[in-house]
Amino acid sequence: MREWVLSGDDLEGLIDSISAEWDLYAPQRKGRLFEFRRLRDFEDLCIEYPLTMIPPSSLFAPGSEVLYHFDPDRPAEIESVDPARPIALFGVHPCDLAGIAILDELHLSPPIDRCYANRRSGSFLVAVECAAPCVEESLCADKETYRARRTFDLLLIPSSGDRWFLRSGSEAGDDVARSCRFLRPATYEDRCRGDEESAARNARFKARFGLDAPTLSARVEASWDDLLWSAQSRLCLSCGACNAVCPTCHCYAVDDVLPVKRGESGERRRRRTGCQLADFAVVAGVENFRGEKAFRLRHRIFKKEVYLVERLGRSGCVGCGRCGHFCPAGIRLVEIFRQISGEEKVDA
Amino acid sequence: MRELVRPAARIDVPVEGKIIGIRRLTAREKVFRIELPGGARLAHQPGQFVMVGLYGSGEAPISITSPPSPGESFELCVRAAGALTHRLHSMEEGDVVGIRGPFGRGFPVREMEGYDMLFVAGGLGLAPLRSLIRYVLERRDRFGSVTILYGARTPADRLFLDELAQWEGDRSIDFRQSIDVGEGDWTGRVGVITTLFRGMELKPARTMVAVCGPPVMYRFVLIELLARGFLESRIYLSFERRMCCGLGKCGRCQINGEFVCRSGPVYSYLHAGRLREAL
Repeated sequence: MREWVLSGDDLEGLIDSISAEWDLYAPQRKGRLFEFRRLRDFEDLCIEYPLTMIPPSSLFAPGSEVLYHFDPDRPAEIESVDPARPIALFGVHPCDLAGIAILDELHLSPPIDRCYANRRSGSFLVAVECAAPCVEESLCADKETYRARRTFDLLLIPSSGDRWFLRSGSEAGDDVARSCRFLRPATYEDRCRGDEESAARNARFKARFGLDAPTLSARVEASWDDLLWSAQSRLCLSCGACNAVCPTCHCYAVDDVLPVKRGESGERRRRRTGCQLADFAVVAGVENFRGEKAFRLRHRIFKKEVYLVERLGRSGCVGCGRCGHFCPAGIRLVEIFRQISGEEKVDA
Repeated sequence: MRELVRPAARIDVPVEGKIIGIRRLTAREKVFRIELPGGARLAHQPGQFVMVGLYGSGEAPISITSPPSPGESFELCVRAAGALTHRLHSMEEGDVVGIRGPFGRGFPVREMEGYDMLFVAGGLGLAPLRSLIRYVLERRDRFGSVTILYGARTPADRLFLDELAQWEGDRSIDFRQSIDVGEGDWTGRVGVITTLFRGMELKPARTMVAVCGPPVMYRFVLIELLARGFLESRIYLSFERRMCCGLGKCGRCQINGEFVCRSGPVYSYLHAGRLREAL
């Protein structure tokens, strides 16, 4: 593992080196919120942002995308979508990096998801470590996702005196760092100071429940018949906002868009959908296998904390806090976990 | 990470299936015989399904109603229910549909050999079961006794009338049918499908059961079967869920941790009975 030191003024130079090869997306203001979009002007960069509403993984798994083009008159012929231009994400928080790692595992395991692979392959990830939990709903300390450990090509670690540590996590990361003349290799003294600062920062991330992943998973599993699901979902609007902002939600529906004019091609598209929408599990317009809000909320939490744990060996929730932060009905994962962890358990 | 992967067609991209025969079964159901390009074999197992697509209307999962055969075409029984299936019903021979698949796991036909077979079909559930029934009847000597129970809402809703008559006339098959609502000149039995179990002599210890029908039917048929001592591991159920991809990715067909499109749609009750949202 290689580490360098750079000053705050050198961030622009680092961004320029990355932009030479990749289309670079970075956190920027959007009204009162933040979002990842193409960085046109270095001044627009907000490297110290709380959290974006839409997670950066949406650049790899967008809300709506073309699966392939078709000619309605010649159904046998299909044009696939052009390879995406490789993109770089600059300033990804560790929780969102963990989200991308989960999507990688789900979409790049056989059968490989062609569209995701198309966008993800050749991409470049620059993570940035956080100084403190960003919102009240953050569970990154409980999920141990407040530190970036893998999946990044480069990792920016804030340091005192307007300085940053830069750590490489891949060959592509090494290459970029080597091309930046202004980087100074970290000395032993730098590393010692970095470790001290790191320890001080870590202390600001306090786990709320003190439950390790297998214990939480077992408690969630045991909560199937609890009243908490109907109690917690009582105010749910079935709007699907929690699904839309979740960095690991990936369910989709497939629709066609027919061409307006003859001779143009149509598009078979997929759009993200969510298990909290009322008609998500409707079959042939009749039977709804999760017709109650309580069943749908339970499915969402079970999917993250039980089904994905069985499949991936770790929680499907990265603790970013978005689902609660952006829920118009105020349904908070923190509250659900609080009840499940035994402190305020409501029993049937 | 730089390499682009292109999986084989028929899995994530449809191939052209040509309609080479259409039969109307009832006011709502038609059977379509489909041929793949170059006469390719579908090579399916009874109980599997394909994704049928029409550009402009998306895709829908449809079970394969014909048995696996060395022939070069297969049959789909389609109820006109939504936009896509209504469009399918207006199509003619020679028209083309998109086909992906076959997907999922069907009935364990090898394990079933040597056993008595009990089929319980409700309504459109006969369509996927017919694939297995015909598979068994084509290899009659490899199986013990064959019992087919069929329930439909009204006499006019019954599917595959010619085959029902054939099964009724076949002395090697115990075929019983019932309808929920008596209508017209129907002289047969009236009542829900479980009434067909009355007075039947079955040998649970040496019988494999295959069940397919509407969700509500499973609950009552299972009560009946378990009360008679059928083993959970020898009751196979085919589940209907909404599948969009067939690849275990889109999440629509999920029952607990299972993707019905991959590990189903056929499950033994031993397994499905332990899933908490299955039945």
